[in-house]
Amino acid sequence: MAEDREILREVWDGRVPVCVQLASEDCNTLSAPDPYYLMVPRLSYFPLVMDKVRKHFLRLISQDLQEAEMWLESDGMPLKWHYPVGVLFDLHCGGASLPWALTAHFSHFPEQDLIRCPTREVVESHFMSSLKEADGLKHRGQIITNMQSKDHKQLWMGLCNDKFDQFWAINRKLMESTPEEGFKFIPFRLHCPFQAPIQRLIRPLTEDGRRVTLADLLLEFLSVPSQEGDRVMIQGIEVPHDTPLQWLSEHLSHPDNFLHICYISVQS
Amino acid sequence: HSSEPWRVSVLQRLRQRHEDQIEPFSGYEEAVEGSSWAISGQC
Repeated sequence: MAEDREILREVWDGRVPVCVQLASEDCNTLSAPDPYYLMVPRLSYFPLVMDKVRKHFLRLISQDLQEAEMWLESDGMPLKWHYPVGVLFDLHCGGASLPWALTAHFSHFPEQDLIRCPTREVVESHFMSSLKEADGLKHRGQIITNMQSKDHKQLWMGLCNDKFDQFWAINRKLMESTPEEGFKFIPFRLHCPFQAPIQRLIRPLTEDGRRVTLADLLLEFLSVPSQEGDRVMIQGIEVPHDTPLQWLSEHLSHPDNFLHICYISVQS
Repeated sequence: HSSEPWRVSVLQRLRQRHEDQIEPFSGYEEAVEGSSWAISGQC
């Protein structure tokens, strides 16, 4: 891996400002409570970073909701906690209006739209599962399988505690490749609003040795050709389409080792 | 890769992201205490 710490650090430091309001139907007070303002790491997951918000609102809801699972909504859409915060932000807000306005709910859990997340261990299990899947694509799973369980725990704790060095001391092993070959496949998920993400196999190099780029991926997997005004966001920025996928995978992937690409059509 | 135009562009845009989405909200509370990003200091 050609480690580019300058880029990795900028990606890691990504934050989104959020303004969380308690759903009026769950509020047990006469006047509307103040919203809660917070900076949330892009690379994390909402259940890992909402403890303060939950505690704040617990004082304001009825006794029978105290044990209920808190879920979040953005402009009428329930937010899927198993997507990284930054991906949800790019899909639902895109920075058009800051801070990002969210509503916290304690009742009427949308069973049709969301899976439940009763504990942090559920997030850990999802995270480790994604890591293993990504390494399966990159190295046939050989790197993650050969790691010790303390290394897995260090990756998880690095993410939870927002510790760049702790995380990357281990993650750099998962990013190893040779310049001649790159990864076996690039782990990516292509997200479009209101649709299931697209995940397919793509190699970092063509058979004649040319570097496969973001433009190649979009051309191959978007169901309709992109139009002027459409936006392709990775980590909250529009990446040049001639950027090689191997480099993107090494530097702009989320901690789950997937490159999450958000495609926002001008028509949506 | 350091001088590749796409790499230069990505770094510029990440820095712009920081200016647009983080700096104006520097007074907000951090969701994760003791994060490696937050600058610690004494008044």
